[in-house]
Amino acid sequence: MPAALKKIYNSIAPALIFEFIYRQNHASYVSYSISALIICACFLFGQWPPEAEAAGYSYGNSFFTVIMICMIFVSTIVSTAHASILIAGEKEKKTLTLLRMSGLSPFEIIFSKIAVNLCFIALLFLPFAPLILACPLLGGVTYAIIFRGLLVLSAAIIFFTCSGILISVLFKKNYSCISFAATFLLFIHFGFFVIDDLIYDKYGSYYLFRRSATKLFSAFSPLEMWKNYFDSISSELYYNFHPYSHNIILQLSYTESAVIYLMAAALTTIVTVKIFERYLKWRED
Amino acid sequence: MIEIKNLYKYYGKLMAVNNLNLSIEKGEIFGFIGPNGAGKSTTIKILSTLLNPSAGLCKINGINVVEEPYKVRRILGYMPDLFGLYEELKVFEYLDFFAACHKIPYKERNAIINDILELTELTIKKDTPVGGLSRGMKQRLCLAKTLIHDPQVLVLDEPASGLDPRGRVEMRMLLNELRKMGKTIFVSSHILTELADFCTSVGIIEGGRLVVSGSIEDVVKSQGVSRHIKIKVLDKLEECENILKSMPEITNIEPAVLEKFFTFEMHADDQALADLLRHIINSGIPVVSFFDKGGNLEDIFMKVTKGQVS
Repeated sequence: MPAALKKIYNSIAPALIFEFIYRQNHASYVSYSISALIICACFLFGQWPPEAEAAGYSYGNSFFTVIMICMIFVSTIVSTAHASILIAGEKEKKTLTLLRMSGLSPFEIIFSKIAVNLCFIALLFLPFAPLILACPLLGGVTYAIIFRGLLVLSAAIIFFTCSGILISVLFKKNYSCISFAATFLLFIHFGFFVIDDLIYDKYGSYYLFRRSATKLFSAFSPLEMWKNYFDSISSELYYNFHPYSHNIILQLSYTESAVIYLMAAALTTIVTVKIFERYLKWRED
Repeated sequence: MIEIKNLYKYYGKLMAVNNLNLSIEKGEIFGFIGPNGAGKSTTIKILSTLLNPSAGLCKINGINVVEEPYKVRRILGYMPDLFGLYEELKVFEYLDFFAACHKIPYKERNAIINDILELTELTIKKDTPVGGLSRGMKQRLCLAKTLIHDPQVLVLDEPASGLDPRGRVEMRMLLNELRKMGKTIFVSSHILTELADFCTSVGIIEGGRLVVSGSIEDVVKSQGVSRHIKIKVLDKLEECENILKSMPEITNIEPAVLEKFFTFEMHADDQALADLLRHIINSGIPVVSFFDKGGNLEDIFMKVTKGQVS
């Protein structure tokens, strides 16, 4: 194993062993996964109406859309909420001091927590893998589309995880972190649309009953990223597909959005590592 | 080994530590004494790199705790007064986790953990969940975790608080054992009699200021505190009592007739004590034992402190 990889492994190994072997949380993770799978199956059952078949839709595309929406929904909430209590939980249990004194650098602590959260999400989604892989066999979707979707989903999960960890460092109690994480999610998904409304469509919103007709900041919302992704699938599959267009000032493709989220995640992690010790000392003061 | 110079710490306008100066040599057990709110825990947190001082210098083994905190953490073992444990882990797993955090190679961990479990007498609890341990055992487990990377310096904040008498004795024995291993120990405690038994030096802090420090003997001398003496005789109790009463420097004579001993306090140096013993023996009193309990830390503490907080 190259030295750099070995160093990274040594840094995150204690946390992974701690979370997934010693703590034996995997039992609960499996139960979450099975629950998620059952929910997904219910959705799938609902997605098989004869009307869809008559309209000539491909089952694979319908299945994939539902599974993907389910995964986006679950990963957005769980990755942020779970990450946001990882450090705060240590503070509540008074184990963070021991962890800080354990010889781990702030980078190692933060990176380990991110790794733990990502592994947790990966475990959560493991049962979805056969379902997703079966979609192309049913037609209407390709493995390339699925792969691109999973890459974008990974970028979003990394961003939400890093944001959750930053929230976790900033607040002392689990409930404060969860509350702030919820506020953060609401803002990042819908806040940009509200800002666009306020700037460009203030009167239009009130008098013409239409909202978000102009897009600038809303291009950064994850909702826009996913809309662009699903639009791209539809435009690949249906020749006559024309996505509804607004008065667009800034348009980002879903890959550009994913890159922006990855960069934001890297920046958030750097900020978290930089402020970790200083912030905790300042809080003590 | 531990050097503190002109240390100040403010919390807003509140001065928690006021011009603290200390020097502790390698292998010493330093007892840090003070009432609640005196600034002990703040000083300990600064020493342990968990808090930055407002001014002053703090070095451990020549390493500045503010400039190189991670280097300090590698040679320092810190046990906080209030600590949490991962209750769902077993004792061995708990120590293995911290050993991994300290980058101790996997192959060496087992032997190190077993040694530490033996030292802290937790071997039989190796496979017990941490949540199922008694308070005393949890204290010992936390100390075991503190020792896992073989630190040269131990900073222990109230290690015996909340322990029953047996737990305290065990903790004291453990600290003595660590002292024999050459560790430098900085320990704070409220239980003064406990510190007097094993500390090589003490410092008393009040209102953020170090009121007195040095070896217990020096502190006793400098504060002019009486020495507590216990003498046991075989016979002639009355004659012995008369001799003691005839000496003006002897006070608080308390005879225990049935057990045939006296306890008394005396302002005297070693020479005066030797003279007294010789005088008693020459008077034909059969002395069974003559024991100098030293100065009472509680007396010194009460004398030098006024109950102020920072």
